Amino acid sequence: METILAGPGRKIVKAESGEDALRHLLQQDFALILLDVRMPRLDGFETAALIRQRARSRYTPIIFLSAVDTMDADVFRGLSSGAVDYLFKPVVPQVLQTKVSVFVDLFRLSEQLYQQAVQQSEERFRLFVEQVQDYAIILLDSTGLVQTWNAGAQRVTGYTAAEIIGQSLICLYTQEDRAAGKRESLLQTARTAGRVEDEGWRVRKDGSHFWANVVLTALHDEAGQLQGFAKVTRDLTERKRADEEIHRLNVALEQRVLERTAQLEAANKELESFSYSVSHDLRAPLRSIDGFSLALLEDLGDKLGLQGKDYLRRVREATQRMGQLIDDLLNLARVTREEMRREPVDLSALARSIATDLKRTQPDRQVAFAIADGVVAKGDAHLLRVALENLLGNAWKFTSKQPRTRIEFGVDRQNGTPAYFVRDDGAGFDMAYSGKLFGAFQRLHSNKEFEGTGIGLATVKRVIRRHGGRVWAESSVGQGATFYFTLHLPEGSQPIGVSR
Amino acid sequence: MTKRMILLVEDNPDDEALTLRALKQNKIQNEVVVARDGAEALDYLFARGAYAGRDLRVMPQLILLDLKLPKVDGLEVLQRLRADPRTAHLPVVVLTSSREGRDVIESYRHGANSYILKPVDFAKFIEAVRQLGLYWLVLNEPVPVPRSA
Repeated sequence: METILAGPGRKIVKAESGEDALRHLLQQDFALILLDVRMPRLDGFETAALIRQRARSRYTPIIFLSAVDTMDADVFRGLSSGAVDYLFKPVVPQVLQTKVSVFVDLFRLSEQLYQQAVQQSEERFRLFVEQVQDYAIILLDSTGLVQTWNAGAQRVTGYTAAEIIGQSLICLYTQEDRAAGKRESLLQTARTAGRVEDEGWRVRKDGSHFWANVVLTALHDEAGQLQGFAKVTRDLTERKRADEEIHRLNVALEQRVLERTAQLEAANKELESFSYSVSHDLRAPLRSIDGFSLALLEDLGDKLGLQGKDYLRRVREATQRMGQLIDDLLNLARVTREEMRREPVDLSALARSIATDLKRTQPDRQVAFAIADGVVAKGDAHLLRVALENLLGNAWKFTSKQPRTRIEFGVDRQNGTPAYFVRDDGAGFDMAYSGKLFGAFQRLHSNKEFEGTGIGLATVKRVIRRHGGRVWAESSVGQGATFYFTLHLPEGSQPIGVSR
Repeated sequence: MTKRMILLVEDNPDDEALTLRALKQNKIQNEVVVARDGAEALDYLFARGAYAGRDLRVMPQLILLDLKLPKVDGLEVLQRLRADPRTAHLPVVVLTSSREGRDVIESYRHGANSYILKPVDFAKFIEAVRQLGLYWLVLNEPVPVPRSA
């Protein structure tokens, strides 16, 4: 039998039983299996079924050998269990040889095709890697010497494959990195951890530097033996430069903010010391004028005569007004420079306490205050008090000519934002002049009509502006006036103004 | 017991004259010693310089202290006299034109007993002096004078 089968390039393995055959099949691939049907224990059919169960031998051709007296049913069973043919003993040598040759040739052909396909696939992959421009994709051997070099590697580093294959990549490292043994430490980390990523400056062939992102992966064979490394390098110089530029701009910006803040703080300090001087030095002479005028009136009043006394009274009135002006101006300055807090402020309670103070100044007046309950807003309690004092104080003042009046405080909605208001039924004003209302020293009434310095509403405007809000008024002459304001300090925003 | 003197620390001669007038109008007859700057006030209190040899057992019943003073300012005077056991308990009323919150706070922090704003209106000033005289010179029981200096 074996002599019939022998031929050039053929290897014949003889198995003594079904189990023996299966053991051989575990160790190697076969072009053809000749299987005797009648065997002790595991017969041919059972052996075939087991052979077919394994993926590796599922399509290996099987020829059953059987005695002549085999029933047709056996033939059918053999074919259905996966045999490709059925031969009867005694075997006719020519027939067997022909059949075996066909299968062996078929096996060789398919092996060849498979190898070709693998080669083609490898070639395609090699070409693909070689032509990638954006990434340097390099294979290193287990000692770190270059084995393959793609177009990307050439583009990124400037070295050609001919220059570098077989070399180590030490030429890409900076002097400092070389001294620090960076190449070796990266290889070592890849060896132990399997993979290492690094970002840093590398040197091109022309000496210029590029910012590299490197991923080094250890490659092992099936037995776990280190075969080498795959190294993928990206040139991120552009991104690095952009990052550095952003960083530089940020630093410059921060510097400018610091400078501006320092300037503002200096200006604020100056304003503060100016206010301080005003507070001290401007008031002192006024005290002298007023004090000595009064002394004159008291000590020498009888010698002055009516006209003289009237003149002195005017001098004193003027000094009081000037004193008031100084106080109001200082308040206006303070409102701008004082540090702001942000807390819930009970505006209703504020308005009520101001109303009580106002009533105490002129207990005889008939003024009905209508103050809405539970009006709470977020802002600076002190500054909002200053604003409400001015608005309610104005309402109080401009209703003073009427025997009975009503002053209202409440909140409306304007485009979804709460608009707080102070309303009176007093003298009112001509809307044609409403533009002048909130300017410092702007007055719509003479001092003879209503006393005032013209600073109150300018102060209100500053307070509201520091709260990010708006203030406006509606009125007509003789019909009273309504002053509205909004407060808008969004969560997390800086209150407007300089803090100390 | 004779009335003890008042130490007025004031550099502005107008304010000095007006303060003396306000005291007089309120019938406050204590002797008034005037120091024109902070250094002079400290000299007086500790018997130094022009006041060397002064009897240190005689201390003012009340010190009226302006804040803005030449040489040594009011806050420093306050600080120094609070630091010395001989003057630590003397009543000091800060009398100033400054309405600045920080001046008020600093004055109290340094141990001022009272802080009075000099109003432009002199009539109001007279009233203020009347009240402070009533409180500090009549109602207030001073810390006993130490027997030895």
